[in-house]
Amino acid sequence: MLGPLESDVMEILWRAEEALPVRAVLAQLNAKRAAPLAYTTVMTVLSRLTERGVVRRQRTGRGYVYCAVYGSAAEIAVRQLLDDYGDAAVASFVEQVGGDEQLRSRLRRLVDDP
Amino acid sequence: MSRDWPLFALVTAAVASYPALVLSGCVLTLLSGKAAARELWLDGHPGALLAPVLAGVSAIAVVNAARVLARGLWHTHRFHRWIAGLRTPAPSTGLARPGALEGVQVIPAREPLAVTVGLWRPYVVVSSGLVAELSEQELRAVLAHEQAHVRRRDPLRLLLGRTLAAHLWFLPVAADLRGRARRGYELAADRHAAKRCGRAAVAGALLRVAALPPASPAFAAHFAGPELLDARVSQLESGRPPRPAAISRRRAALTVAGGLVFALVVAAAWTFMLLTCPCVMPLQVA
Repeated sequence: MLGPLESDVMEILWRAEEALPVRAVLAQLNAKRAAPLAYTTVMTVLSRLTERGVVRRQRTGRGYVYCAVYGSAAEIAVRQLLDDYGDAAVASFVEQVGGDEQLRSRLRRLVDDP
Repeated sequence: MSRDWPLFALVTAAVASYPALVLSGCVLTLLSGKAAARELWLDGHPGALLAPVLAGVSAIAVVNAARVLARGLWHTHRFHRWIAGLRTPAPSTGLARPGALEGVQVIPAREPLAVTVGLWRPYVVVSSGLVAELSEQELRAVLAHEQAHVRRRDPLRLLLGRTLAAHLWFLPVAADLRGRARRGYELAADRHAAKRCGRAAVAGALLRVAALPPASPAFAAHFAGPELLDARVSQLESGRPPRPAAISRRRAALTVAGGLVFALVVAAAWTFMLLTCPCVMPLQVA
């Protein structure tokens, strides 16, 4: 579900300990490439990944840094699966209980008092 | 089918709307080819004037439905291919009896996920994050819930409901019916899981999933929202499915209005056919 270049970019973001600027991603990509990529190419890939919600962009000083939202390619695939399907053809057990404390306490009572 | 009346209603309404599609096609053909028909058009016969509207409504319905159906089929196909290409071994789950996960596809992801996918031969997919988080009994409850979806082929029903609701775009109540159908499937699957594994296990699984770190907002958008969960909890408490919220008056009124307008346009087009179509006229004479 990720293209080859997108996968390479994600690998770099996953290995990085902190959010990276485009420059750093570009340098790492080009370190092992015979034909170096252009700065704008990498920037385009990163903005596309940001639009898809796979990468998060943060402002620092004069520029932006990027970090991965999900921990693995499988998580991205799961997310895209749900994006694509909506509720069309999957039946899911998991619901979002979120901050509804009342629902949680009702569930807790059911667990404690079967 | 008796338990799935919302889907049945959608099927009936969609099938009932098909003759209108044929009728509007006939009227448009007559208008383009027959002088008598064009005269009536110039006289302002409502059937002639409204037929293009009917044709438009029907065309949008067919295109909508085809688009939704094609998307559903394509995404299912892509998902099957993705699963088939996934060569990661199932992570060790530490279950006393790992047989619980037999036939279940475990994907390596932290997000809690348990879904039934596939139209004709559905199967269950769970994430390793979910397996790690639940107790054995809770996991069995989740799998029993998904097994119920598998047995009833709920993904197929969901896609059918979505397609038919897209077809019936001019009836606002169609979306409600689709929501009701989905609610019914989830509640039925929960009843099955509670019967097999006890309601405490189902409640515990729901609670554990809720205690997991909040998934991203994009992720949260795919769950049915608080109403369905509230209904599921109420059913666990009382042992019987709670009544769904009544359809709003506005929606009901709009639907009745939409249905009436649709019927009137069909009637007008039909009288037009009686007046002009050579194949229907003998009926009128007799």
